[in-house]
Amino acid sequence: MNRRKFLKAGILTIISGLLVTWIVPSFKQTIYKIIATDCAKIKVNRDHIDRFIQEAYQDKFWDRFNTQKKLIIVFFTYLSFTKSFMPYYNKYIMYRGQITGQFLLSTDFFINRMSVNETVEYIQFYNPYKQPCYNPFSNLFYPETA
Amino acid sequence: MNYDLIVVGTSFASTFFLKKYLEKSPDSVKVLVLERGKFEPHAERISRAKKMALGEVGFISGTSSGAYENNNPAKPWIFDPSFGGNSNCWTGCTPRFMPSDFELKTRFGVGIDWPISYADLEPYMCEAEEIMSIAGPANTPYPMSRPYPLPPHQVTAADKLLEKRYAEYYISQPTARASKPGARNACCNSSICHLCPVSAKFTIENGLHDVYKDPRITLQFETQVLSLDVAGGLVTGVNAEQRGEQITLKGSAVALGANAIFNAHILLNSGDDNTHTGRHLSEQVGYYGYVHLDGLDNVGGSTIITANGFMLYDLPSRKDAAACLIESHNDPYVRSEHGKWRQIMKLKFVFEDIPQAGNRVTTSSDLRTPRVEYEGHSQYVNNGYTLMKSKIAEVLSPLPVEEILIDENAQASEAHILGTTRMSMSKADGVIDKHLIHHTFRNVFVLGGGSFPTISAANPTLTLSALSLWSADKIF
Repeated sequence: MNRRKFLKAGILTIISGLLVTWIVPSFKQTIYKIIATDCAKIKVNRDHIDRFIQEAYQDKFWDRFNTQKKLIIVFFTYLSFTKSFMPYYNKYIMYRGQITGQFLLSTDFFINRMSVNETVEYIQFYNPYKQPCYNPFSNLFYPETA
Repeated sequence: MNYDLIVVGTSFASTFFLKKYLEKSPDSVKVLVLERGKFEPHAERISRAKKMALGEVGFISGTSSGAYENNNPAKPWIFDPSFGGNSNCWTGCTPRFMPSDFELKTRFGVGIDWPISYADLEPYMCEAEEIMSIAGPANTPYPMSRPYPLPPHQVTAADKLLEKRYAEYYISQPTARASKPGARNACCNSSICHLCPVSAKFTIENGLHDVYKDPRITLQFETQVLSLDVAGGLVTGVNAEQRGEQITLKGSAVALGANAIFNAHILLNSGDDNTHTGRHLSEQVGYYGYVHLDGLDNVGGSTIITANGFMLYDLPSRKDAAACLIESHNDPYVRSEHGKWRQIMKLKFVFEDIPQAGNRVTTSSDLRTPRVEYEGHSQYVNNGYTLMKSKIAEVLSPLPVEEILIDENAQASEAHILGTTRMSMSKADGVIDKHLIHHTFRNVFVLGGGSFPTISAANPTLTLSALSLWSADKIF
């Protein structure tokens, strides 16, 4: 590679890197978008989404999503038109459910039987080791199903 | 001192064997039990988990990584090397094997038959279920001479529709997660069974700890057995490493209950020249699937896995395609669609495999460390997966289905380690006989899931526990 080609390659790499940084949303932004979109029709205080994301970072919850999972989540969230035609779409649906589910489990939404009339209150970041016996879909919360 | 019996390990296989052995032995016997790990009480594990960040909590146990060399890091083999072994971290699923699982060769022309039948083992399955206080339904796809000790867990709304359609082929999952308080607390659906916060799940600690308080037993921790001491075709004791020191302990009989990796490794370190020793390492293969339901809130289940489906199990196609056991999961998952949050069903499709000789345990340069060589599961599993995908819409037709999403990738592990010291009628076909006694070393029992000639799609713990009871009962 001569000097001119080397410089060209370097400049292209720097520009590409900057474009990726500016254009591709961060994982954190993506999580916010997912939760805000999924919860758009329920009364959620947007500050609570930020609080949840922050507490999830503190509890290293996002460590459960490795780089590949994060890329899938970001990709499908912003390119939703690709939907089920794409490989990994099923995984995306699963991951998205885990993200929004973890947020809603940290609120009183499910305890209030998914009511859309009441304002959703943030309780605390859901950690089953600290909050055992809390599965809001279980027979304990739906005794009438016995 | 020469012990009457040396037992290696303290998990299901060892403890159930020991329980029966002690019941049938005089007060004068002396038993030495060697556990490679320590005893970490359940309360301490819980306390430790609560102090950790959620993202860091995995299996709260002595880690299995680093205990063996692995040629295939994508395929981990999970176990808990501490007192109680995998009883600490198991989920507590105890469906029985089907009668056909013992006769795969005869009925379907694949694998090999077990040297014992379902009927032989059935009384011991009942006994194991009694010891573990298993919760389960009245009607099952396999014959039972005794009902389950505890009533069944409550299934979910979607399960009820499948139960109605398939009767005994879709049942509340038989489980060691208690359905009502008694010897243990009742399961409250925390969905972290590897460390049940209310101790609802059977463990050696909460269910059979008293076995180790028997005055005939000496229990030593932090002692890893490396090999057997062999003289004149019989084993005279074990060679072990105890807190950095090499020791030899003498015994008239030895029961290996480490796990299928370490049992095989101990035998290989001891000069076992059976061509099957260490081979046929295997486990089930699982894939998740999600069913989006139309207008049905899938609520009301009382435990983490509420049901087992046998609709794709004993099909004629089993001659080419693996049996599939369906699990209905009930952790607090949701669907990311407004108004349809719980209109979803999470399933796991678990396939048996035909054990492959190329998947094996070998020795390494370190006497303490086995090497695992795993090439992958067989085409038989892939055929089962393809068949399941072609039939699943029809199978789930009793449900109001919007969409079925099946994961394309198998789970890395089902946390079972099976097949490395398989049972057989003769030495030419396996490592141990039908009573779990080594074909060559006639005073050595090789216990646990390594003894399975074929592995079923069902969870192995109930069967391997029953085998330990059977072995001790028949020999002593």
